[in-house]
Amino acid sequence: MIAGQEAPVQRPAASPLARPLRLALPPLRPPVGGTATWALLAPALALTVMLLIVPTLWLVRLSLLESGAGDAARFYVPSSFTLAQYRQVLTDPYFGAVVWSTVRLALVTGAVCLAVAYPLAVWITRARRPVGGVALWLVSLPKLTNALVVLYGVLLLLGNAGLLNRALLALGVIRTPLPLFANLFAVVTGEVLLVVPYPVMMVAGALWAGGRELREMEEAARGLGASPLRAFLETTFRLTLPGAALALLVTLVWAAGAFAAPLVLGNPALYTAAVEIHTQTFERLNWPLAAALAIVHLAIVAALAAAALTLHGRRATRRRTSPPALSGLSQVQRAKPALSTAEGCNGRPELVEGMQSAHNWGVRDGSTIGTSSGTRTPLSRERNGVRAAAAEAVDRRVWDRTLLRMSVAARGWSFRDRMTGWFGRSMFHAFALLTLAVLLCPLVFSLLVSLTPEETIGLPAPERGLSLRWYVALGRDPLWLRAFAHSLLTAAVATGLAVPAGALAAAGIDRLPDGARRGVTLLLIAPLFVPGAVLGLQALALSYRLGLWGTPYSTGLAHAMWTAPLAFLVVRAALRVTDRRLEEVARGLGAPPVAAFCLITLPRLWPALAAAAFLCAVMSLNELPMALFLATASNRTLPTLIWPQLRYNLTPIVAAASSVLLLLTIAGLLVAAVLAGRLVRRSERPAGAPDTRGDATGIPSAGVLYAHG
Amino acid sequence: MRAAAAAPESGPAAPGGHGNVAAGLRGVTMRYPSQAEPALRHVTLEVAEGEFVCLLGPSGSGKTTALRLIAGHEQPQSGTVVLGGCSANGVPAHRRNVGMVYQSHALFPHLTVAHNVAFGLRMRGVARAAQYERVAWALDLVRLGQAGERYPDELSGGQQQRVALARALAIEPSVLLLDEPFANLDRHLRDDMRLELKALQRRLGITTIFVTHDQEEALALADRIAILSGGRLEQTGPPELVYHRPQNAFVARFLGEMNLLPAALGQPVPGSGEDLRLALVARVPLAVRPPSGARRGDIVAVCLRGEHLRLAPLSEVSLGAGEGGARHWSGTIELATYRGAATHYAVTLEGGHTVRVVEPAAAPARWRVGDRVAVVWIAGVAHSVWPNGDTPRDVIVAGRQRSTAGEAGAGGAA
Repeated sequence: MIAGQEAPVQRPAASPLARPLRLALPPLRPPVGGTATWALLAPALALTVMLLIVPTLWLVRLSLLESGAGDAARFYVPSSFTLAQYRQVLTDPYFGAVVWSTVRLALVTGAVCLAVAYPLAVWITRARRPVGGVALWLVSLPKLTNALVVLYGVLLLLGNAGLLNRALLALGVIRTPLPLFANLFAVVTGEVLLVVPYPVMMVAGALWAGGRELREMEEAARGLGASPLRAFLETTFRLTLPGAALALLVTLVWAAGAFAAPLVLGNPALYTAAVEIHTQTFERLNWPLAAALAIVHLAIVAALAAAALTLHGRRATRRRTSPPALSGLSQVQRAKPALSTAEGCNGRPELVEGMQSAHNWGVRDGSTIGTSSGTRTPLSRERNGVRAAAAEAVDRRVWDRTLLRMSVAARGWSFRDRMTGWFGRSMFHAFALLTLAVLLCPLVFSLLVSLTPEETIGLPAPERGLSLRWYVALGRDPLWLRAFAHSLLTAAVATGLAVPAGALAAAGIDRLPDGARRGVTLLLIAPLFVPGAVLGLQALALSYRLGLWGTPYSTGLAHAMWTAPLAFLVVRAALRVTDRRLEEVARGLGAPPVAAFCLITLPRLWPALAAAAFLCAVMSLNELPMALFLATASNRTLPTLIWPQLRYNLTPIVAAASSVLLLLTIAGLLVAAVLAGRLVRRSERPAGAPDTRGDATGIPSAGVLYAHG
Repeated sequence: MRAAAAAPESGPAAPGGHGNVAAGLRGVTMRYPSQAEPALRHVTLEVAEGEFVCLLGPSGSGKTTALRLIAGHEQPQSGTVVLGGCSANGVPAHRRNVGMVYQSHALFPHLTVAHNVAFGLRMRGVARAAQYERVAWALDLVRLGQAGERYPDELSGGQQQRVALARALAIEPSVLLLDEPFANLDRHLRDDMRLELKALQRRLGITTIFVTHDQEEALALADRIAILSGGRLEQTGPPELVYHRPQNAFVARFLGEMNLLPAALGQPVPGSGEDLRLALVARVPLAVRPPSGARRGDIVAVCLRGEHLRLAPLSEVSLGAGEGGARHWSGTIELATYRGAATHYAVTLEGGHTVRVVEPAAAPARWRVGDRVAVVWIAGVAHSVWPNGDTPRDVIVAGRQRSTAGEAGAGGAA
């Protein structure tokens, strides 16, 4: 690398850490030395180490303790040692069933998600300009709102007295209600709705990253005679499979951590490891067993992730896949060197030299696979120097002997073509719109239910009109108000810590040498891949051990650790598309490095920072499992208060509370979008930046980032 | 439209002269949904069988759109896309049997070179044995016979482009479309590839449409050049014709180093076969070939090619001023740009116009900025166009000329 040659000149005794960026963009500031780099990374690393690594170690220790055995005052026996918990988890058929239902849910959800997300992402990336962007935001809305809102909507839709059954009964399609609820179908539906935004964004990111290149390749395939669908499958689809495999990875990880969906929509036979951890912690008060379960849960997630990664790796490295219809061709080519008696000379030009002409190929091909080769030009004639004449003859021969089936003239297209094209397109649009509708209908339902004037849950009847009574009730209830205030505080703490830490780490990460960078990146984004229930138990166990349990900031700290990776990813994505050569220009004009960064790069980063802050706040506001584990009377967040209501005591006040969360999220979204849009317009996109279609807040960029690993 | 009107001028290779229309556009207008202005406005361009046509124009002039229309990747709002003599409107791209080569190559990175080339054959369900022969033939054609097993990213840019060409040729397309195929290659490679392409096209006799913004490339390759600007077809014709007899001010200025000076048409030149007229060009009388329909007293833009002007010391010229009319101007050198084979000068004439002069490297004298020189018109008859064309008239008036000359000097061969 040129950069590598330049660096020593500027800083002769560079530390091994100080290496220029390895990115597509040319090297930026000269490396400022190891200390500065690690100083940038320190806050994020501290968050991760203190709040993820240390608790995990404590969790491992906890899982090796004896249980408090029914003694309500003790959750475990300190400084004991036993493998009994693991023995129980691994041998008891009950826990075997739990593990199986976890894995099954993850796999089914993953498969369904990918099947839905891939076509939807294709549709989004090909829709016209405003449509695609809006659709992407609509898709991400369920993820940005409270999971409970979504589940609540699904509950209303699928329950035995749910809207779907009622509608079908009223239409006379069915006579008895369909069993749509408290089964695997319901749980998978709920979980898919919760998880599907991720694969959609990631696949859309991969497609957008391929951009013009993919489009041209697909066009080229069509020009070569592939039907639109075929062209898509042969080029874009094959080439985005690695991205799809990564999307599958994320889907599996999140689905394996499923906590709320099985509890709300399922039955005890469908409860996952996360649910069981919660039960063991709070109902059985058997923390060591819960810890052992958590370790096993982590192992499950890791195994699923490893499987998906292997798939991705195979896809990414195994370019050398021959389409089945053509494998014969490479066989023949591989056979060539063997025929020329040189074994192992495959592909070496000097050895293949003797057979470079078309007719050589023809003859050898014929003899290899037994096609008749009577009419082929003899080898020798060509060797004998009448090459030009022979070549001309072959031109004429090949050109004249039109391969009959190839004469696909302009007249060869038919009514069928047009019909299949029309039908395919219609189905595609119908599918996409239906999916979008299904994704959004839980949100719409819970909004509508919150406006009911009745005492019981249900859609407001048209003749009774709408009412805000449940919002009023919500506003008068001190319990809800306190939870609301605490949610805001938690979100503020989380955002305030996570965004600076994540942003600094994003600025520092690319100064690390390759190996260290990969390791540190993995460490920094690790919290995203740890199931919420495990994080919750860790936080609970450690804060209990340290005597901090119940302090008001504990949830905020945990959320900061959990959301810092998001801030990191969003800002890093923004940094990578920001043309930092501009910073070099500023430095060439005399600005010192820090000033150059602050004056040139930072202003262009504002949209990303705003987006990161918004994301962190929303995630914190809506997070359930960790908050649930850490909740005491003094620090309940809104979701933790909705949760028991949702499970045991359904009144429309839950819908109102959910709707408040939803509206807050949407309002934040709009503000962020407008803000980011304005900022982006002010500092126009660099010419070389990938077209993220005006999604300035960087969420698709994060998707791109995932897709690139 | 104007091109259609110019049919009698458009030379021997024009359709209708011989052969069928292998591909073309008839009165095509095309507007992208996201854009206000149409990318093509009522363009008619017909390509005869076996003909090599270059679409030439600045970026955004609609060249690539024309190509994509013929390939079937876009549909026109009005007009007809012609393939093999009949309308291809509505025919999907994969039924058109058109070979296209992209600037980015658009090779399939997950397939070997051989599989790339075989792709079109596979799509047509060609028997395997025939596929081998065909792939081998196509790869041999582009001198990559031994590269079949390699992957596109293992090849150099030039080799990739050759594979793309082989892939397009393997399906035996009725028309070969090339969209700035050599733009990403370095100069020497580009020259080689041009020669190779031209030889191949001759050898196979394949109808070819080639899009480029590089006028040298177009002049070197084409049987016929079609010049586009702002979605309109400005002129079509053989390279020499387009170069020497541009139909309007845009074409005149687009190709080569052209000076356009305004002049009023005077009386007919006595004894000339053609309808030539005298005109006072910056106070110097020249024999001018007027644009069609021009009458005495009309203001036209007289085309003075830079290479038809020479510099000479003032003293020498005034000595010979008596014979053959005083076809020279005196002026001051404003700018000199050395370009190896020639030196380009910007000279401000006494009347205030600035002209660009291309002096071959063999010219006896070197001039410096500020030198007073004579600018001599060495060609016989000067061509002329209507000044108002599509460009505001003031462009050809002094002052502005100066700035364009400055840009040309600074920017090199743009």
